[in-house]
Amino acid sequence: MLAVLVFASAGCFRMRPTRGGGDVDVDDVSGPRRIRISDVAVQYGYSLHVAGTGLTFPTGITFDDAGTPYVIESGYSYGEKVTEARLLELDPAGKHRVVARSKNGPWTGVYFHQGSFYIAEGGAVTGAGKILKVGRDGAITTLVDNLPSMGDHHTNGPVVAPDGTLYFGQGTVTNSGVVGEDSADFGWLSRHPEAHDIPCKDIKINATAFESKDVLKNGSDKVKTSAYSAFGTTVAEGAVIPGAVPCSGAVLKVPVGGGPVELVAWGYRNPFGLAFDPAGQLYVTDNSYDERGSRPVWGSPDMLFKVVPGSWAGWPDYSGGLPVAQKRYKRPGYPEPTTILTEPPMKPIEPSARFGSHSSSDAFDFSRNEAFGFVGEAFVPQFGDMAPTAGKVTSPVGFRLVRVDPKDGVVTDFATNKGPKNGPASKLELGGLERPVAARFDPSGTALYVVDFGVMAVGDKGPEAIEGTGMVWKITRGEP
Amino acid sequence: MRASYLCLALLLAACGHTTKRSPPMADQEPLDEQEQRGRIAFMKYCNTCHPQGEGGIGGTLNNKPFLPETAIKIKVRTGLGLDMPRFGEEDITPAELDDIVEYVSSIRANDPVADNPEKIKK
Repeated sequence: MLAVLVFASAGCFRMRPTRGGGDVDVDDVSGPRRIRISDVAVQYGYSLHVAGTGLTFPTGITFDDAGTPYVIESGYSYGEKVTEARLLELDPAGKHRVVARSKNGPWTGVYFHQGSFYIAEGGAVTGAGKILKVGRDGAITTLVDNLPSMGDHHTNGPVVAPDGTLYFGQGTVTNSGVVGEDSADFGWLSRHPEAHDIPCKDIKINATAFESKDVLKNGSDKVKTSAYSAFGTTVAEGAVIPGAVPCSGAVLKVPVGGGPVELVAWGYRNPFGLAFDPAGQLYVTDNSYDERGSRPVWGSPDMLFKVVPGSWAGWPDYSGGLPVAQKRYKRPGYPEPTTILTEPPMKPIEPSARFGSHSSSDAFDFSRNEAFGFVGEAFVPQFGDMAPTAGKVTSPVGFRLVRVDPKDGVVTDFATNKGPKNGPASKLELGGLERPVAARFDPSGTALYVVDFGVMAVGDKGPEAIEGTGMVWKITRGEP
Repeated sequence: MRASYLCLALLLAACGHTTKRSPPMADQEPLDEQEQRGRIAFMKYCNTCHPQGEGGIGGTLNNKPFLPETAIKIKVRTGLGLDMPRFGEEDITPAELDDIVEYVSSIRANDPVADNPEKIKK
């Protein structure tokens, strides 16, 4: 009997169907978004408000000197939906004022500093990621250009330190180092067949070549691809892949007035959110491996890292300090991942916290005002899983706001949809949270704004985001 | 025969869609010292697959009505079942596992629906 209890408690991953939060019928969720504050459970003693609605794929928020909130709309969504990236002055009544526009999305983050907006521009279609400087009049100048942002992940951040250094993240081109069929599924491989990951420093790689369908031709032939190589190309055992900056999977920096891009830390996969804690320490959230492509990695957490200059976080061979070439990270029913690097460049840094696998823990901020509370804790929005595209889940993961104490790694819910089950509001048929993607305190530190990307269904053919369903929530302490 | 049916029912129940929310965000029963240590260890070793005790890529932990301490430990040490990785003493020390068991038991004691009467009427 005890053995059965043990076995029953295990769950049976392979026996269950995937049940991600995006598992909804697009036709059922394509109408106007229902918004109902009472559908959201917020930490006791706090209240939720609506700060802005009617947005298309919003991904970031910032505040000017007067405390006026501005949001960015991405201009691109996974699922190859291209719209217009926009910087908007947020209007609670919905009449948002357009400050700037771009056709080179996704815009993934925005930060206001000394009279200008700094925006991370992904350039999914053109393949050129940028850091933009935008004046209040909407004039755009390019601070950094030609970042390797053509693949799965893009240019992220940014945040400006008090000394005038701008930090930003650059995501990897691939899931785990190898261009494959999943790259075609994302939509970028046919646009950029030459693309591959670029290490920040010289590395040596093993000769393993990963076989896949030749999706650039008829799809029926097979082709082999090495890590850090263009689709259909291989390298010899011990080949040196030259490092370069800018590179894939890194936190980089540049003077806010312009200048050379420098490496801060590397070995990340998709370093999406950057924020300084009250003591001035920079942290980053990293979206970790998916269970897809030629080298799937199973069971890897999204993580919060302290950004230590010169450090390496382990991608593509480690997760949370552990090698992925072991049974723990093998996709059930498949072989263990193989090691790509002949030797790691250094010991990988340990994360400060681990989030649920596939939670997509994104752009965050630290509380710094006792009037709000939880000073020194990070408030991390979780976009939620993209199963089955990113991998299988047996229950929806994410779709909430959590707080994290980086001292001990404890993750605690702060705002979630009510009810006995988890998921985005559209799946639960509620009027609450969909896909929180960015959180930032206002300049006073007493109100936390949470950017909600909006409705995204994810089916067998990939994600499909619904325009106009994005919004911004605001959380304050005390009764409404 | 009756026991076999019960075992089969338990197994099928565990393999079904059994997600349960983590505790509601009301004031919670404070954790004792061991449970607090267990929560920290849980976050390091377990939270990836069972975020805050809920289901994810792993099964839901906070909805099991009764699971003996020994059963939890066997499960963690052996990875019994099909897909959960095993965690040996080189991964999780016996003391850490004792703490984790205490923490997991504490989150199973919460009933978010009963504790949160403001259930949603669709």
